[in-house]
Amino acid sequence: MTSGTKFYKIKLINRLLEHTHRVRSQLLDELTTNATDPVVFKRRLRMLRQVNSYESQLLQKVENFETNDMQDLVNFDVAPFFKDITWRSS
Amino acid sequence: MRPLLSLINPKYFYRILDWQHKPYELAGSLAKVQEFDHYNNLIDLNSIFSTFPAGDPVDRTETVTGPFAFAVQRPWQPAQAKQDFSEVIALRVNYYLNTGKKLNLCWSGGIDSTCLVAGFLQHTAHLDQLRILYSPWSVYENREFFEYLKTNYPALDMLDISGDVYLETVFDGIMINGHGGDEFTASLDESFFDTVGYQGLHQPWQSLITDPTLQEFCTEYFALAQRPIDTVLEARWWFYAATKSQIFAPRDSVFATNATTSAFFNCQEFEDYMWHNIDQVIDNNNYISYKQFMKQYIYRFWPNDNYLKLARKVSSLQFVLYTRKKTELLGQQWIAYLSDGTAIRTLNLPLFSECEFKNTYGDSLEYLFKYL
Repeated sequence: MTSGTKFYKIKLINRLLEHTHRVRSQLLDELTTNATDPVVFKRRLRMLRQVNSYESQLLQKVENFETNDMQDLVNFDVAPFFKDITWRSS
Repeated sequence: MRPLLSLINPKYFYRILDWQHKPYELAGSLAKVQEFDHYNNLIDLNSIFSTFPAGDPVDRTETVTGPFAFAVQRPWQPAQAKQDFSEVIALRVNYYLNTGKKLNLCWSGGIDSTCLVAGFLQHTAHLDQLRILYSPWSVYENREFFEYLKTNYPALDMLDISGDVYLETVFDGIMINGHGGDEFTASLDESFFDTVGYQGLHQPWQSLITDPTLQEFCTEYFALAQRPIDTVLEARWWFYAATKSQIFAPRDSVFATNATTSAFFNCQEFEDYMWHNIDQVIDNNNYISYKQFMKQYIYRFWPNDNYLKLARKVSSLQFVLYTRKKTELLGQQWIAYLSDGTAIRTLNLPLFSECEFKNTYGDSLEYLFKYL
């Protein structure tokens, strides 16, 4: 790996952290708003736990990721990574 | 014999075309690949029938060469036996019962899955062979049927798979879902019906498919059905039956880590039934009458007038959403599935690069690309 690759990885990690922060804040808001509904409360708590474990899984993957094309790192949009695990109906 | 493709994930798979410098253009989520004109015709046809074509066509007539080497699970053959729908269901149910395995019936609450549950409950001598898997959305879709089962079949094993259950349970036996119920009934979605109307479905297909080159292709391709394909409805039925019924991998559900997944309606018996009875796809100019013959079958088991008159086809995506979520959380994202059930994946998906693909597979998968 070149130092250039690491630089782009840091950019990707920053975007990932910013996005998980947004996702987490929104889930916490929903959890507070629905604090009297045990079903929604439990689901939001579960989702927060899942976002945490998924975030650490992704960070590990970014660290291990190998590419010979910097565009791979520039082009990754992090929001779709979380789409499937933050469906409100799953 | 090396295993061929069973299912591809376009999100990753088409990027390989870029690395191979193979030109293509997207129609919906499908790639029209240069030099595969007949295959591209199928995608053009798909674009006429659907606003966002998805799921690569796998030509079961094996006459159209596509860019990727798919295994045809069930090659097309013209219909033989002419049976009642109830006989078709009975044959299919007995096929599963005779395996002696635990049968997990995925009940989404929609018409297809309710029909198969009704079939199993009519023909099963030992309820303990069955397990109904449902979610709160199944109940939302068809609450009265749920209550009917709870009241009349107290010994039936019914499992709510929402919450932690689908994420943590490893099922055994066979997972049976209602797939095929759409594909062999012309996959008639409401938006298409609204666009062309009931009368439009019974117009000559040339009224919808107007491009001369495509018409020429369709004339040849429709002849392979070995039954008249004259109307828009018949053309739509043939297209979906011949090319879109194999869009689910043998292990399309991560519920089924130790279980086989099986599509109840993706079988010769049901295909034959529809071959003889395309007129039954929809009864009249109200979309509610789509799959009325299935609702009538359900009615004989569960006489609910409201359901018979008012139930309409909806897309039940809950199990799909559960599957996707579990796939992500377990880090089991995939690029493609092969016909022997193995998954093609690289270590750090959803981050995907040529470098990682080459490191993992080298040139060993080149045989899956017919132009190489």
